[in-house]
Amino acid sequence: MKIKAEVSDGVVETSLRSGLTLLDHLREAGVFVNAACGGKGSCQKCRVQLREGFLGITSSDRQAFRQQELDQGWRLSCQSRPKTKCTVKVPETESFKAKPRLIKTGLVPDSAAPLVCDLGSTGMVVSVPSSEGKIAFESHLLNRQVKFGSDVMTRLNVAQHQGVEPLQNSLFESLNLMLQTLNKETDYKTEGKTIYCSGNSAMVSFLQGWDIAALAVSPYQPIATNSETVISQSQKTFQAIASLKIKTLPLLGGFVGADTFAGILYLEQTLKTPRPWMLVDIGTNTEIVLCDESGKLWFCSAPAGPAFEGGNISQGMRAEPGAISVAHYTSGWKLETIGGDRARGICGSGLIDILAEASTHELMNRDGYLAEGSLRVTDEISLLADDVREFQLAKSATRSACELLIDRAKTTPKAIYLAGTFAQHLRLESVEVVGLLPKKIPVKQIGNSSLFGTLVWSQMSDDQQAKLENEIHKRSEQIELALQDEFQDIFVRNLDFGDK
Amino acid sequence: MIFKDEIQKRILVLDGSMGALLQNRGLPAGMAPDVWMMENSDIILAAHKEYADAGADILITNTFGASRWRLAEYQAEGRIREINARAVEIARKASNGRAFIAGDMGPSGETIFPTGQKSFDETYEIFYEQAKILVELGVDAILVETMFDSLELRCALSAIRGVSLNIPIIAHATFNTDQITDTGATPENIVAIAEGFHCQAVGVNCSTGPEPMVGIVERMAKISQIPITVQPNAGLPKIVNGRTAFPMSPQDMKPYIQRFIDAGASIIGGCCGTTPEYIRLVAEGVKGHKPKFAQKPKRVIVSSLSQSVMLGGPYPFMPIGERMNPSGRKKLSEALKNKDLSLLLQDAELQMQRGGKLLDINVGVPLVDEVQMMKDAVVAVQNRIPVPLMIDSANSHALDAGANVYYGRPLLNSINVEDEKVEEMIPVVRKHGAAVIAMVTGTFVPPTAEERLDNAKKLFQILFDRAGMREEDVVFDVLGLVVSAMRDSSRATLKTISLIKEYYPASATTLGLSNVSFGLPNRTVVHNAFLASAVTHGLDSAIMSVTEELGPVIAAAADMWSTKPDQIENFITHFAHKIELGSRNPETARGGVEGQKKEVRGPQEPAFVAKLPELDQKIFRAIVEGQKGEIEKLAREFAEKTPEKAMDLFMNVMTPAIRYLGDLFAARVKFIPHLISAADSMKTGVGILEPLLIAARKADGGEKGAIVFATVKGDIHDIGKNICILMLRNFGYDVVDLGRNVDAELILKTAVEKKAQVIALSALMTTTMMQMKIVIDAVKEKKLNCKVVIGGAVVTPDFAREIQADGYSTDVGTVVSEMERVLVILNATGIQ
Repeated sequence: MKIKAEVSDGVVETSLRSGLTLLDHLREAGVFVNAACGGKGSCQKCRVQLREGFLGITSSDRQAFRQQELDQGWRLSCQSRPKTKCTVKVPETESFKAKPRLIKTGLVPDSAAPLVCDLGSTGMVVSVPSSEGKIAFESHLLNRQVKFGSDVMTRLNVAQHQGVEPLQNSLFESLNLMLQTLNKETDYKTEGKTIYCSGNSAMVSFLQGWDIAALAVSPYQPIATNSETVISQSQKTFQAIASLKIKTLPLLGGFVGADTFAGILYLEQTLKTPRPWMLVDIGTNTEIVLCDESGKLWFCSAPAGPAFEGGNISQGMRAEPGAISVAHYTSGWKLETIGGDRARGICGSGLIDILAEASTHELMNRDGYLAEGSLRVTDEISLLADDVREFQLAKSATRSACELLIDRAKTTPKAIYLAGTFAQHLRLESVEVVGLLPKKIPVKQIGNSSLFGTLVWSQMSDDQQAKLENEIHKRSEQIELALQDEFQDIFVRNLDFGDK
Repeated sequence: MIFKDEIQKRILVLDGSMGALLQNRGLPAGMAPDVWMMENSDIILAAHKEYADAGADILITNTFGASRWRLAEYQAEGRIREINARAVEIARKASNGRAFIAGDMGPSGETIFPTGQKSFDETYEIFYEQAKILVELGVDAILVETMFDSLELRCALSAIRGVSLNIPIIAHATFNTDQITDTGATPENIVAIAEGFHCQAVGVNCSTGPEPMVGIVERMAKISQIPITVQPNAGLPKIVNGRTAFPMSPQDMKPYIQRFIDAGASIIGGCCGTTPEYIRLVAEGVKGHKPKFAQKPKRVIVSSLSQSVMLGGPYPFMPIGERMNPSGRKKLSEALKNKDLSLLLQDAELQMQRGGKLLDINVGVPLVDEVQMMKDAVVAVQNRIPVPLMIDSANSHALDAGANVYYGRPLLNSINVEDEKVEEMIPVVRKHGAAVIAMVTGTFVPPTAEERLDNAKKLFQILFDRAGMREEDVVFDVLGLVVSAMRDSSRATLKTISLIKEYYPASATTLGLSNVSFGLPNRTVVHNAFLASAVTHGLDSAIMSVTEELGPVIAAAADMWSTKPDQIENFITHFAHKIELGSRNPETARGGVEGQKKEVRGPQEPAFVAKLPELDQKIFRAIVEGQKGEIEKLAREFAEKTPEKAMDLFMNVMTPAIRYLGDLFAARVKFIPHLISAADSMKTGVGILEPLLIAARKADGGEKGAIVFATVKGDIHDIGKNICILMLRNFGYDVVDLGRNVDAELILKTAVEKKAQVIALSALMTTTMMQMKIVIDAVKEKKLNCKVVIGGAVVTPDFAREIQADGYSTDVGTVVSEMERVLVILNATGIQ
C-alpha cells in the first residue's frame, strides 16, 4: 500500500511500512518535514493534512489541533503510524527541498583564498572571498540536519543514540550541495581548496565526528576546543567536497563555540570595539561573551529554548516567506511579513514586536497575562497565553545570563553587540520594551559575525592562528549559569515584562 | 486435534512475524509478500517450518494482503484464488500435521464509511471472496488481524460468518499506546464485536511493542467470555540505514510471555519483528500453563466505539434512554422532516450528561426516508457522544443502514414473533453480529406468563436455527402493559420476567416503561412503582426516561432485593449523594447543553471563600496575591485570637489558596513570579503558625509521605524542580531535595533510607531524559514500593508512558495534584 505526499513540486510516494511513523515514511520518500522536537510530538511543527485514505487521530493530535482542524485532516506526522494507504499534503513552509541559493555580490572572487563557512544550526552559508578580502559569492542552504530536529539538543540526543556519523554525513551532504552550486553556477572552482568552518560547539563536534557524550550532559564540554582539520573517510564519498581540506575554528568551551570565537575576532580585529563590550548570539542556546577592561573574556551560554526560532509557539515558524516579522499596533495590527506573503505564522522578530506592542498598549499585563486569553493578530493567527509564557522563559534566560555575567565581571559594557542573522531582523525598540537584554546599555546589530570572523581567521597564517588561539583561550573564563546561586532569583525577576 | 477443543485445554502458540521476516530474506521494500511468494515459495516454506520447529501450534498463512483490493495494487487481483491456495498449501506442507493452519486476513486496504468512503456492503464482498476461498481450502481457522477500524473488523467477521457459521475465528485489532485503535475503538468494544460473531478468540496484534499490550490483554480478559490472544511486535520500529529495524530482541521480549499469561492470554504469538527464536521462547514459556479464562457469568454485551454495556446476568439494572424518538414529540418530528438533526443531538447529549449509558435511537417519521435518516442519525450521534446505541426501527432496511455505519456491536430493536417481517429481520441481525430485542408478544397479548414464555421459546428457536444465535445475543422485551386498562395482563408481566430469567439465564430482559402508567395521574410515581417491582423480579433493563433522576435510583435501590450480587455496594457507590426527590425538568436544564461555549478565563475563586470569616478570607487572598507583609500581620492576629483553629486554617484556607493559585497558573493567568511570592507568603504564614501546627499534627498523628526529588544525572538545571519543591512543602509534604546532576544510585539509596513514597525526577534537556528511565527500571527491578513521577520542559505524556513512569506533571501548576493522585493509587494498592 502506498503512502503519498503532495509537496510543492509534485507528488512523491513510498510503500507503507508497518509500524513506522508517517514522518519516517516522508523522510524515506525524500520529503523533509520540520520536526523541531525530533519527533516527540511536542513541537507540533510536522503537521500534514490528510487528503485521501485514513490516518488515526492520536492523543498528540488532540493537543495540537482543534476539532475543526482534525476534521480537515490535520495530523502530526511524527506521531501518526499509517496502517492503510493515504495521501497527505505537506505544507510548503514546513517542508523543504535541498536546493542552495546563490548570491553574487558583484565583487571578483579571489581564486587563491580559502573558503569560509558558517555552520548555522538552521541556515548554513559558504562564502568565496573577494580579492579585497570581502565576499564575492555566498551559497545559502537550510542545514540538512534539520531532519534530525531543529534545535541542537534534539540533534545531540540523536547522536547519543545513533552515533555522530549520521549528523556528520548530513553536514557533509549540506556542504556538498552548496559547493556543487558554486561550481555549477559560477566560474569559481572549489577543488583542492581549504574551507574554514565556524559554528557552535555541537556543529563543530558533528563536523569533526567528535564524541559528543560529554557535551550532551553535564558538564557540557566538547572533547576539544582547538582548531582542527576534519579527518573522515565518508567525506570522500561526497564528490564536491572530497578534495577539500576542511578546518574548524577553535571553540571557547561548553556550548560557546567557534561562532563566538569568530565573533570575538570580528569585534576586536575588524570593528575594533572599545572595551568593555558584550557579544550576544541569540538562539536556542544563547551564547554570551563579556570582555572587561583588562581584556578578560567572561563567557556563558543560556538555554533559552526554541521560542526565538518560532519553536514551541503555537503558530510560530522560522523566518520564512509568510512569517510575520514586523508588527505595529495603533488601534489595530499593522503587520509585515517576509516576502510580503499572506501571513502564515509568526517568526522570532515578529513575536518580539507583537509582545512589545501588546505591552506598550496594555493588551497584556506586565506579568504576561492576556486579559482575553489570547492575542488575535489576524483572523487566522493568534498568540496564546502559553506562547507568552514560553517567550517569557526564553527572554528571561537570555537577560538573566547577561546580568549575571555583568555581575561576575563587575563591569558594565559600553555596548551590547548582537550577533547572528536572527538578531539582524530585530527592532531594537521592541527588544528594549520586552526586556530581552539588560536595560540602559546601547545595543548594536553586527550581522553574521561568525562568518565575518571566520573570514578574518582565514586570512591569517598558521602561526598567527596558533598564537591567537592560545591568547584567547588564556583570556577566557567560563561561568556555568545553573551553578550560580543567584541565577534563580534573577531569572524569576526577569520573567515579567517592563522595568522593575 | 480439533481447534475448538485444543483452545480450551492449553495455551496455544501462534507463529511470529512474516512480512518483516521476509524483508530480511530478500523481500524488496514495497513488494507485497503474498505476490512475492509465488516466485519464492521455498523461502515462505522455510519460514513456516522454522516456526513449526520452534513450537508454534498455529501457522498463519501468508495471505494478509491476499484480498482483491490489495492485490489490485500489484495487478494480481486475478490470481486471488491461486495465491491463497498456494499460501495454504505451503503452510500445510510446513506443518506436516504438527500445527493448525489459520487463514490470515488483513484489512481490505480501503476504509469504510464513515471513516472512509467505501460502503459496508461493498467491503463485505471483498472479505467474503477471500474468506470463501480460505474456507473451501479447508483451513482450521481464520485469523482476522491488524484491524484499526472496529467497523471494518465487524465487516470482515460478518463476511466470514456469511461463508460459514462454524469456522473458528480469531479476531485481532491493533491498538496504540493509549489503548485505543486508530479510530478510537477500545478493547472492550473489540471483545463485544468478536463475541457477537461467536469468534473462538479475540485479541491484539502488532501495535506498540509488548509493554502497552499487557494492559490491553488485561482489559479484554476482564470482560471477555472467549479466550484472549496476543501477538506483540518487537517494539516500535525505526529506520536504520534505510531498513525497518525493530528494537527488541527475543530475550528482551521473554519476560513478557509470563506477563501475558498472568494478564489472561490463552494464545500467544508474535508480530512484526519477532523471529522463530522468540517463538521458541514462547513455546517454552507457556509449557505447563493452563489457559486462565475463568468461567464468567453469562450476559449480553453491546458496545459503541469506545464503551461497552452489559445487560443481564449479575449486572445491575440498566436504564435505556428513550428520548431519541419522534413519536409524540412534534418538534423533533418536524426537525427530522426537515433533515435537521440538531434536536436529536441535543437529546443525545442531554441523556448522556444525565448518566445514560445505553440510548435508544428511532427516527421513524411519516414521509421521511427512514433508511437514509437512520444512517445519517447514527453517524451524527455516535460522532457526538460515546454512548452505545440501540438502533430502533420497524423497517429492516433502516436497521441495516444504521448498523452499517455503527462502530460498535449494535443492539437492534426489535424482532417480533408474529411479524411477517421476521424473515427480513433475521438476516440483518445475523449480518451485524448484533444483539437483538425479541418481543414476547405480538399484536395479540397472551394473558398468561406461561404463554408469553412459549412465545419467547418459539422466537428463540427461529433465531437459533436461522442465525445461529445464542442466549447471550437476545434481550427479551417482556412488554410493559398499561395497568389501568389491563391490570391482569400487566401483572403477568412480572411473572414473565421471572420465567424468562429462569429459562434463559444468559439472556437479558427489558420493557418500555412509560407505557405502564398511561391514563393515570402522577404517572412518574406509577411507573416507578412498577419499575421497583419489576426489578425485584429480575428485570435487567427498561427503555425509559434517564433525564429524571428518580427512575434510575429507584431501580438501583430495588436491585438490592433482586438476586444480583453486590447490589448494595453498587447502590452506595453510585448514590451516596443526597437525591432531590422530584424530577429535574430537562427542558429548563438543557441550557447548559445548548449554550455557546464561552472562553473561560481561568477558574473563579472558590465559592466557599466568600463564606469564610473575614480574617480567613483575608488570609486566603493574601496568599493568592503573594502579600508577604500582609500575611505576617494576619497570621499573627489569627494565632492570637483562635490558636486552636490553626490546623483548620492551614488545611481549609491556606492550602486551598495555594491550590487555587496552582489552578490559575495552569490556566495561564498567573505565572512563576506569582507562584513564588505566594509560596513565600505561605511559608511566612506557616512559620508563624508552626508551633500550633506541630501540636495539632501530633494530636492528629501522621504526616504525608516523603518525596525524594532530584534533577537527573547530566542535568544541572533545577529552577523548575526548586519551585515544585517549594509548592509541595507548602502542602505539608516532606520533600528530600537531592539537588541536581544526581546519580540514579543515590536517588534509590535515599528513597530506601527515607522510605520515600514517591521519587520525583526533573530534566530540562532532551539529552538527559533517558536517565529517568534508568531510575524507573531500577525501582521496578528492586521492587521498591514507591512511585516515580517525572516532569520538566522536555518531558511529554507519551514519553512518561513509554518509560512507564507512574505519574507525569507538566509543570508546577499540576505537581501537587499529580502527587496526590499517585499517592492515592499507592495507598490503595498497598504493599506489593
